[in-house]
Amino acid sequence: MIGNDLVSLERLDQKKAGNPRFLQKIFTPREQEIIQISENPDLQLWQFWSAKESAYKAHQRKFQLARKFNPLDFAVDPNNFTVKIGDSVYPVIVQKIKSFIYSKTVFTSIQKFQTFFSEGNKIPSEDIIELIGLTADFQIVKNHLGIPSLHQKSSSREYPISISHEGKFSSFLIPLINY
Amino acid sequence: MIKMTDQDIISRLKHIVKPYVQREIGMQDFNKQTDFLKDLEINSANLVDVVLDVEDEFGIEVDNDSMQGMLRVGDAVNIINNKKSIQ
Repeated sequence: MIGNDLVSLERLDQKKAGNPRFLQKIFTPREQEIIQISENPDLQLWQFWSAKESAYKAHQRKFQLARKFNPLDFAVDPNNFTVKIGDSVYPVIVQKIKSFIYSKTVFTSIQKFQTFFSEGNKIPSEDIIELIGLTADFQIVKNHLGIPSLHQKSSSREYPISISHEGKFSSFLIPLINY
Repeated sequence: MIKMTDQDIISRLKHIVKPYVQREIGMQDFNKQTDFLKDLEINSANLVDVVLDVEDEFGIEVDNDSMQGMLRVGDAVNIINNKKSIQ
């Protein structure tokens, strides 16, 4: 199960950490507490948000769920870098890459994964395929829930891909398999 | 109090979401079926801003259960109508 999320550091300028109504809609009381005592509350806030988003994507894919806007249900445990929803726990890695917060959930230890970043509005699917190093044998498809996959035409196999957009920037997380 | 029509609500919603819309063409046909994320490409990080602006504009509180299902304009219209009717 995979999920990734990109947040621009420009969002820190919105000073959302000083907006209790915003915080209460998204963060558990414990998360709010950690945000407030953090050295950089706005950075902490968006790191938590990004972690929740990447776990949401992995969770939606795992259980093939309809879309739902329920960030409060995803609880971040900052001690072991996991996000918990119901009985599911997702390990999350949150990094600062250039002018972004980038987080990913990789729900297996066997496969290797790689993230690709791109800049530009409305990148055609074929260009994304090229960017992530695949041939025209592949295409990006979305199922009825809007969950994207890499479809290999010759074998009719599907592999997971997680996509995140932030302004004109995008990130793509894919497993490295022997195609 | 004068009852708002759905059309009133929709035009006020259109004004609210405007600053967060990344796909302008989606605004041309703004109706109950319009999807905030798919049709207007509002970033999910900005969906909370939309919810807070809806609360301010209509003087209601959008609870967590309602927020979970606020994906299309029609969902927001239903939430606003329901909250207004119990005020």
